[in-house]
Amino acid sequence: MTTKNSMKVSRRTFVKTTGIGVSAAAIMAYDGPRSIARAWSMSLPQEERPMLLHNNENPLGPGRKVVEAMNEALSNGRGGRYPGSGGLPEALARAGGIPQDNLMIGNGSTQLLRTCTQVFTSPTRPLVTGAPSYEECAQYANNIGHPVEEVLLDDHMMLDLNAMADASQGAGMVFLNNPNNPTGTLWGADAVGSFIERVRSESPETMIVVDEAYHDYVTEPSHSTQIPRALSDTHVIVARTFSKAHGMAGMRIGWVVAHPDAISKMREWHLGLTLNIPSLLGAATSILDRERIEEEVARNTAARAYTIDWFEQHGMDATDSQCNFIFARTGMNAQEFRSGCAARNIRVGRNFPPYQEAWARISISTIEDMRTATRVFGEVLGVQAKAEAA
Amino acid sequence: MSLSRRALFGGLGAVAPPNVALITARGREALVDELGPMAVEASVITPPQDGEIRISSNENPYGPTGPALAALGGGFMVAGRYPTNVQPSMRDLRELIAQKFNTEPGNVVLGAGSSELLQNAPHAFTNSEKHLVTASPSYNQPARVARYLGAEVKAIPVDSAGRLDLDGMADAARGAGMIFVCNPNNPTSTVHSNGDIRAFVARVRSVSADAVVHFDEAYHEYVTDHAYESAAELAINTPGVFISRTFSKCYGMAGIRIGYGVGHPDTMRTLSRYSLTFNTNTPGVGAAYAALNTTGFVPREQKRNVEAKKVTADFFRNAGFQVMDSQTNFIFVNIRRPAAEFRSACAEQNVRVGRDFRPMEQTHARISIGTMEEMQRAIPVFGSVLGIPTNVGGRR
Repeated sequence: MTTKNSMKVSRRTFVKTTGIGVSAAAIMAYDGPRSIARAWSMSLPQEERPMLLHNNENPLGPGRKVVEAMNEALSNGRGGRYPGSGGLPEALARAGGIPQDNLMIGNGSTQLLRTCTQVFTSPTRPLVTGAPSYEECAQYANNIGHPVEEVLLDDHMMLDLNAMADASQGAGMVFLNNPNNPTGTLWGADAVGSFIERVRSESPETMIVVDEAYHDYVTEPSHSTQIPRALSDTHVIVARTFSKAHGMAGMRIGWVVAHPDAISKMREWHLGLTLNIPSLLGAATSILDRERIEEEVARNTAARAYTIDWFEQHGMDATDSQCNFIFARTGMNAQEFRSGCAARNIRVGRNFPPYQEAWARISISTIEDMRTATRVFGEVLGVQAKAEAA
Repeated sequence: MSLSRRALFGGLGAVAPPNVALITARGREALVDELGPMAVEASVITPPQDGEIRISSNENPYGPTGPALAALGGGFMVAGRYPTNVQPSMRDLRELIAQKFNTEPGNVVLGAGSSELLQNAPHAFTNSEKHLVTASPSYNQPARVARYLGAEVKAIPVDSAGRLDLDGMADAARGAGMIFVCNPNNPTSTVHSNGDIRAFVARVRSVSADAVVHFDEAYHEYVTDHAYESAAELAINTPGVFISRTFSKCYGMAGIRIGYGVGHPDTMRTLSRYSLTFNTNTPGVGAAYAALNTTGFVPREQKRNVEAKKVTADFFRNAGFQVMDSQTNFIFVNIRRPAAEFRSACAEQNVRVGRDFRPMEQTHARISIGTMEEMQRAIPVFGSVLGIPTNVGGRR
């Protein structure tokens, strides 16, 4: 298989290039898309490297054009220069008509989510978030002593939009992760629109931050981005990242779209000096490389469906994940499941209270990896397929 | 699946690209200092253009070393992974740094450049009741962050030789949350000896039991003064004292954004609560790891800098202009006229020098040290702007 061969090549290349004193010439080679699911511990033989299904990364990494652009970013000593914008604002303008005044770029969307939390919440104006949901804002608010109101998911493991809107009265900011991590669940455009309109009318000062980190992976037709609203509404912000479908988690780059007034407020605090030059050039290339994203989404959709099917065939269920991970009811304590998988060299997601007694978050790698992984899950969970058991 | 749903910005019609305002000829630092506390990305600095000599931001003109470049290239391939998930990982880099300082990983925090630490430290250690002590002029970022957070800033003027007034700063430390000591100091380029630093910390402690002392050693690798020594050992053994370092200067990785702090574990724990999640990029971690392991690199780069700096400083001194005692990769020159005038006149001849440094902007200019060839080309430009005969500039 070509995958196997290129895997070998890539590993050799990596080991060689991280060695000391080698020529920089080796770095320009890009050997095609291949699974880097086992990238960790490159010094270990491949069979001993853990399969990483715990951080919702794109197992293939950045595409060829992106890798080339990042290498190009280092030409002529440019790596030694403080970065400019690397053409990313222009690329986002070309890709989707985002005017520069509506745009802010950050060290992953995480930095931007923190900036929002810093600027829009206060000791008297809390953060409202779902629970469980992506924790970046809540953790940061805790760190800086701003109150957090957590709203539990509803019975269908969906963000409880009504309860969140209720809780948003007088809040500084409400954080809406759509689709939601760790459950993978999504509210369609109509529901999100109604939520936003309700919060806007009942609590006009509250900033609404919609984190669309997994947007590209969504296959549910009722979904659409809130970016158009963020362009015109002074109190709606949409966060995006290059860490997921774009395969650039390690590059640390994300962006938000917001009204210029909101951007100005954020800019008073936001540290712009966190962006590395290869990430800017890489992201500018990636955002225009739609073909690559479509391939990645097709890959993820198939591997995700395969994995969810496996759980269902074995008498378990999973949420209707719209992301590059699934949230499955294993029936086993998450810690126990995690340890069992780790003992077999697969790392899966951590505890997500209050679901830690029976649910696990599992990131989706290549379909080959997921075949291996489901065999391991079967061993850890001691299950047999329904058909086999019958 | 429908096109509109898959579309990147579903439902949003094509909009003409905005007219991107370019702000050139200004150092990155300038943007941080002048356009708002931490703002940068809206304001664009282009890379040096053909024929342009950019000696405005204290960068290493050669960029990353071979091994660091190679590690970056390898890192791009696995950039789908967070920096905790590829080796060398963030943890590996912390361990290597700890090893270099003969200490433990708990004494080390990483940053997206030292800039992140310079932002996080005032956030962690100053507030509306606990002021910041800094020097004037000095690296401005901590003061800006403190002000944003409502903390008072006491900026103690440097002396006439551009040296920090450590006694004055220690006196101002009573009731402070944090004292920021840039050593060597940017923009004045001067350094204090290890003896001075130890006496300073003792004096701070005599007036304040808990004020945090932050030594920024961004230019550490360039120092040649034998009396100087890093405050790292002192920091590791003294609660409430820490140093910050960067790969942006000597190591030539300003565009890669990796820095670190070293200090007492309690101090580092508090500081790291403010660290961005996955603040360092995967390829950058590998590059920093490779750079630290490249033997002989620092002395080579130091020597190169000293030689190019000497030619430049000698030119000014021979022409009767005072140059402060530089221990960095830039010089601070009394040009006896406003820096802005000098800067625009140089820019007209494609030489970009440093921004204004208040309160010395009427008399002093900061000039970064580029390659020897760049300095030999820049010197005649300085000469023509300042009305100095230019044959000292090493014309061919």
